[in-house]
Amino acid sequence: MKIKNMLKVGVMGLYGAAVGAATLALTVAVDVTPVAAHGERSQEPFLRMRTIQWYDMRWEPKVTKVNDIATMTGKFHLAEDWPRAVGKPERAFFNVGSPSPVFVRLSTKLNGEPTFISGPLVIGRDYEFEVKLKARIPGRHHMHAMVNVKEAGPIAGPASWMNITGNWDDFTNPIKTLTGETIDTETFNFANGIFWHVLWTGLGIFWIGYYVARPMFLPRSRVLLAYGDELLLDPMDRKVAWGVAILTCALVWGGYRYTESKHPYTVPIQAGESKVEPLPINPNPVAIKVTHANYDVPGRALRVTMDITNNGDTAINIGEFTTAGVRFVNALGREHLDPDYPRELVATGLTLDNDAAIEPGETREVKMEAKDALWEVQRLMALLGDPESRFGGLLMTWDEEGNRYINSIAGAVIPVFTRL
Amino acid sequence: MSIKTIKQFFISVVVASGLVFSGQGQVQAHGGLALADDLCILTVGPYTIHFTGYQPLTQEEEFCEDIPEIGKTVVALDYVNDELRPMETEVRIVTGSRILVPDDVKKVSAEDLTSMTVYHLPAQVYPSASIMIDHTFSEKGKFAGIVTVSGEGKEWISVFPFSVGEGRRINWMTDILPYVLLVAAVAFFFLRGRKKSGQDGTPA
Repeated sequence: MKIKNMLKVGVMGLYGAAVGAATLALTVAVDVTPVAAHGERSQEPFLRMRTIQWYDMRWEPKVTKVNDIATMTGKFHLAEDWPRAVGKPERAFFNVGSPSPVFVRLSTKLNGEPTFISGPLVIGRDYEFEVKLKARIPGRHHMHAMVNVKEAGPIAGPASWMNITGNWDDFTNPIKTLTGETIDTETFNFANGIFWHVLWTGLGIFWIGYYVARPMFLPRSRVLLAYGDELLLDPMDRKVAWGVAILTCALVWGGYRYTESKHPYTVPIQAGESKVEPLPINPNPVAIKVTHANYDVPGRALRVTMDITNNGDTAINIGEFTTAGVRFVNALGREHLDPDYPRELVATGLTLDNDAAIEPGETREVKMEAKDALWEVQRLMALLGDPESRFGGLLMTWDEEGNRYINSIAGAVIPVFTRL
Repeated sequence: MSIKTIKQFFISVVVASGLVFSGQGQVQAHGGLALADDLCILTVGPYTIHFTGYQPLTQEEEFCEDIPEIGKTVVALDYVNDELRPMETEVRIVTGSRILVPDDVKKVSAEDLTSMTVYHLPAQVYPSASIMIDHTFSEKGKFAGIVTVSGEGKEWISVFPFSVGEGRRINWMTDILPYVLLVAAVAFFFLRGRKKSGQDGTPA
């Protein structure tokens, strides 16, 4: 390489370094602040309202010490009005949404069955879950239940703030292996993990660097297209390629043999498919047909007109409409409201045109209004900009004996600026 | 490609990056109102209220602060903080430029304040956390919104001056710059093409 060329490359390198430094400086100058939540409000409203419909959620306890156990329990219904644009839950995985692994998940049960792999869920049916969590990183954390659906992505449920006190350094997660040895998964083989990361990263950097140091990718490509690969290959390239190939194979084989000898009894990561039956269908004497719905844009109110038929033996009353984790309740709903449910997801603005109970055998047209700023704060009415503007949610009614009935309702919604 | 060209390219990248990012993370303050993270936020003491303005008869887009046209205007104020729900909120719209900051409210007599007022919602609790202001502005001019929140023995006042009927503000970065860049790019390639064809046509 001539002196002039070396100088040219050196100057280019200096400019490259300057751009890199400027980029780093910009990232510092730009207001980058840590976030505590997960952007769940930016998830499309039709995903939150018309897919997984959550209810009876509990987070206990709200404050734990490092190493203590917390649980997240609840139920969810898979909406009959599942959007056409969203992949069906033929392969779904129950998950927990948290800001990094602040808890360690010890177990997940769906309808009482241990569930650690994905499987099909049935639209129109209900599931009950229980997740055991072990507190790991101190802080105030926003914890979501979540279902990952293939071709739909993660569908987050409502979240509650859970606090962890204590010191992260005190965290341990001991487990007993097949051979009876007790290991702490928090620290087990940490150095080994670092070693393999460094080794493979180093080999990769060498492989790319070897070719970058020669004519760059673009000139090589142009030469390849114009003259074929003969001009680009020299004997040293072949030697290096063989050396790296042999080294890679040797590392894989050697690493495998070493692991086999050190840990002869292992359990493979489980694959397959979970086959959890949905909860049995409870008798529900309430039939609902939505006939009209509109959203008062400045009034922040969803107004639904529906025909409700009571096929039961006792009168029923509406108490709650819940959608996307937001619970709109009236006086009856408040009586059944869990006081520990996140306050920021409760709206008391549920009203009906007629508060009288719906008698057995009666069919009544009911006008319901769910009014609260949460429609906007939770960005649920962004659905008005969708090509398919439909709302969805669970309507809860109670009979005189205190039995609760849940109906999943849905319908097209029209935006209005005045009370029609 | 010469060293000079590369140098110019890198300097352009750095300067352009600086221009693009220099405005990030800042808010465009306008009294108590500010556009932060693409949301129009009204700050009242330690609390925040989401401000959304509509002119449903003439405007398709929502607006923040200045009202583009005279006529029917609807503004929704949504509490972002749950702590505001049990508190009382009073909303007043006054004409003129006498009240620009919260301290100006105390300098104006009660009679003057009443005579300046064009819209008033008395102090009350909004359990649904949403306040709707529905007013028809019949003429252009300068106005100020005064939002007073009181509760637990404390009171906070927020003032946001705004204009009515002066059209939408032009955002140079989004409304003008892309077109200037497009025209400049077309002109650049057009002139370069002409220059090249002129050179090709020059006899040896």
